[in-house]
Amino acid sequence: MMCCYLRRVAGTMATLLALGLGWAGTALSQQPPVHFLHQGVMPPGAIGSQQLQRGGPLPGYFQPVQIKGPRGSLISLAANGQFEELQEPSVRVGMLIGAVYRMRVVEIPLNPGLEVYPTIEIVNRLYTPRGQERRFAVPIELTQEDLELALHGKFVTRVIYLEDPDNATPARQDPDSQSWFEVRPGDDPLAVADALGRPMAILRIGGRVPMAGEAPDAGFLFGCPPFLRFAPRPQFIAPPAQAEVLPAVPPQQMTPSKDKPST
Amino acid sequence: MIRALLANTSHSTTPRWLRLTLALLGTISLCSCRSPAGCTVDGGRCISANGSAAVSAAATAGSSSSVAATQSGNSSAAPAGNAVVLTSAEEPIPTPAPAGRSPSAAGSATASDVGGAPSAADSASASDAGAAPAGVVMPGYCPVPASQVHPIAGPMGPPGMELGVPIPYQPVSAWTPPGIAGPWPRNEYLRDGGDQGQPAGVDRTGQVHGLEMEDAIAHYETIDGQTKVQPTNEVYLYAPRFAAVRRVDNLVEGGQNRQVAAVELPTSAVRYDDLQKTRLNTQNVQANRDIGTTVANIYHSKQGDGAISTAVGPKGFQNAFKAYEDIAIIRTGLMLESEMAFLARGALAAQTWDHKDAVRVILNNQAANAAVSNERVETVYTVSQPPANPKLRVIKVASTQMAQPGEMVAFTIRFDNIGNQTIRNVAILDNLSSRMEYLPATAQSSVEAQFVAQPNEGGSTVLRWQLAKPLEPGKGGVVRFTCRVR
Repeated sequence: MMCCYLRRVAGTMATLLALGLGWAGTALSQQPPVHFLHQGVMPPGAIGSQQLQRGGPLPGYFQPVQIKGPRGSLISLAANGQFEELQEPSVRVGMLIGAVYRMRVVEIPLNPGLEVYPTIEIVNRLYTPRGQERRFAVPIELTQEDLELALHGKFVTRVIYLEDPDNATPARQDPDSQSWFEVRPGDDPLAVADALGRPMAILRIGGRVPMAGEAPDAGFLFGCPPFLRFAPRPQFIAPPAQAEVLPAVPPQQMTPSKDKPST
Repeated sequence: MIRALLANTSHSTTPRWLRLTLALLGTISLCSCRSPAGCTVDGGRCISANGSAAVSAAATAGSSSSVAATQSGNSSAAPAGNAVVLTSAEEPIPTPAPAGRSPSAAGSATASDVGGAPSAADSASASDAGAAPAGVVMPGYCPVPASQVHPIAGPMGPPGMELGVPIPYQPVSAWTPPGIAGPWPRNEYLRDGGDQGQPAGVDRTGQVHGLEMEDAIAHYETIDGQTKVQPTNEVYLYAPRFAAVRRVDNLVEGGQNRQVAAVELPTSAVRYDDLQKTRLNTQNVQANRDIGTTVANIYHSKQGDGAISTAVGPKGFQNAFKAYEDIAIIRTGLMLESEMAFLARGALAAQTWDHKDAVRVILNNQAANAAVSNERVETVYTVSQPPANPKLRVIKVASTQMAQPGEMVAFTIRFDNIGNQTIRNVAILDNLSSRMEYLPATAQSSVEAQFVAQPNEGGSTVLRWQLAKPLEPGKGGVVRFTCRVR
C-alpha cells in the first residue's frame, strides 16, 4: 500500500517537473535571439569606448567622416578647448573611434541667431582599400528638420549604419541625401541599426548648451579629441583667368643640371 | 520515475495515457526551447567573449535568399523584362585548338551531373535534364514567352562604357583578421559571379533553379543530351552604402539638460560623469599591424603539359576590346605567363583563379591519333577517338574595383568551349544583386544571341544570353553589360 502511494506521488512529481521545465523552455525561446550590449540611450562615449576594448584595429585609426549640413549653415569643431573657425559644409575630417566630438552649428536657415551643439561618436570603422579612405567617408548629415527639432527642445539621436548588401533596399540612393527612417516609439535605434547593418556613428542633436557668457568647459567639449582635417574636394576647376604664363623653354635647356646639389 | 509513469495500478487516480501525454508534452517543450545566445551580435557578426568573430548573419541571409530564389524559379508566370536579340555578322571568337588533355584539369574544371551525390567538387554541378524546349522560348529562369523576345540586329553598347580600369582580381582591404579569407568585411563589398548557396541546376522543363542573387552561371547541352552548369568566377566590388535610423525624444523645457536627461532616462543622468573615459582615447597606439598586401607570387601555372596553341584574335566585336579587357585571356582565351601577376594581384584572387574556376588552357587534339604497329608484316593503323569531354570555361571581369552609389560599372563575361565536342543551347545567366541596377540597352554579345532581362526577387534583374548557334570546340565569345550601383 505504501509502495503504491509512493509510486503515485513520484509520478505526479515527475509530471509536474516535466511541465515546469517545458514552460521554462518556452519562456526562454520567446526571448530575442541576440542580446545587445549597448543601447542608443547610453551617454556619449560609452559605446565607443567599450567598442575599443573588443580589440581589433580600432584604436588610433582616424575614420574619414563627411559632415553635411543645410545650405547656408556654418559648422565648427571643437579643438584645444574652444571652437574653431566656422566653415561651410561639407566638412571632411578624420575622427578617432570611441571619441566624442562636439560641434557648433550656426546660421541655420530660417533660424537666425540660434545655435545647436551636436555631438558625433564614431563606434566603428571601414576597411577601405588602400588609398581610397577619403573617397569612402562615412556621411553624417545634419538635416534642417533635425536641427529645428533640436531648437524646439527635442533630442534627436541618429545612428548611421553601413547597410548589409544582403538586406539592402533595392532602391537608388540619392548621393546628396542619406536615406533614413524613424524607429517606432520605444525601439532602440542602435539595435535597429545593428539588425540592418553595422552601426558606424551616432549623431546626437539637442540637449545641453554651454552657459551663456562663459567658455565651454572640457566636459562639454568631451576633452576636444584630436581629429584630422582633410581638404575639401573641389567642385570644379576654375578657368585660367589669372593663370601664370610659362615661357617656352627649348628641350635642350630642360635637361636636369649636372651640378651636384650641395649637401 | 519511468516506472511511476508506466504504472497502471488501480490506485492511480490519473490514467496512464494522461500521464504519458503530459510527459511527452513536457519533453517536446524542452526540446523545442532555444537557449539564449552566448554571444552578442555586432554588425551581423557573432562576437564571442574573447572577441573572435564568426560570420553568422550572412549565412542566414544566404539561406533565406536561396529559398526565395527557388520559389521564384518555380513560378512560371513571372513578368518578362526587356528582351532583345543580339546578333553579330562575325563568327564566334576562336580559341586555342585543344591538343592534349590534362586529366586533373578535366576533373576539376568541368561541370558534373546533378544526379550524383552532392559534394564539394560538385558545387558547380549541373542537372541531368532532358531535351530543352527549342525555338525562341528559352529554357531557364522564369521562361519568357516567345512573343516577348524581340530581335534587334547588331551589337550595341552604352556611351562611355570604355571607361574603367582592369579588375580581374579582387580588391584587398587595409586589414583583415587572421584566418578569415578576404575580401573582408563582406558587408562592404558587392559580389557578382559564382554560384554560392544552393547549386544551380536546370530541370527537364528548362527552368533554372538555385540561381540566387549575385550568382552568374552558364549552362549548355552536350551531344548526349546532358545539361551542364558552369559558374563564373566571383567579382567583388567595394561599394559601401550608408543609411540612418532616427529617434526623437522630448526634453522637459526649462531645466538643465543633465537634469532633463535624468527625468527622461535616469540611468543616463547618473552615468553622465563617465564621459571622462573618452579622454583615455586621445593617445591611442597607432596600429602597427597594418602590414602590406602579400604579393601574389603563389599563382600556380595551369599550362598543363606545356602545349602551346595558336591564338586567333577576335573579329568584329565592337571593333576593339576595352581597356580593362586588354588581357590575353579575354582577347584570345589564351593565358600568358607574363599576365599572371596582373591577373592575380591579390593572394585571394590567386586562390580564386587557381581552383576549379581557374583559367586553364587545355589543348585537346581533336584529330585522330594514329598508332603504328610493326609487329606484323603489314602495317596496322589504329585510330582512336578521345572520349567525350564537354567543357565550357566562363570568366568574368569588371571595369572597376570600387564604386559609390550612382556610379557605373561594366562587366564582361568571356566564354570558351574548351572541350572536344560541340555543345548546344548555351545560355549565360547573371542574377544581379539588389544593389545593382542594370542599365537597359547596354547588353552586348560578340556572337548571335537572344537576350532577356527580367526582374528578380531582389528588385534587380536577371540577365540571360541564349546563343543562337551551337558552340563548336575551340570557339568562344564575349558578352558585356553595364550596371549602376544603387
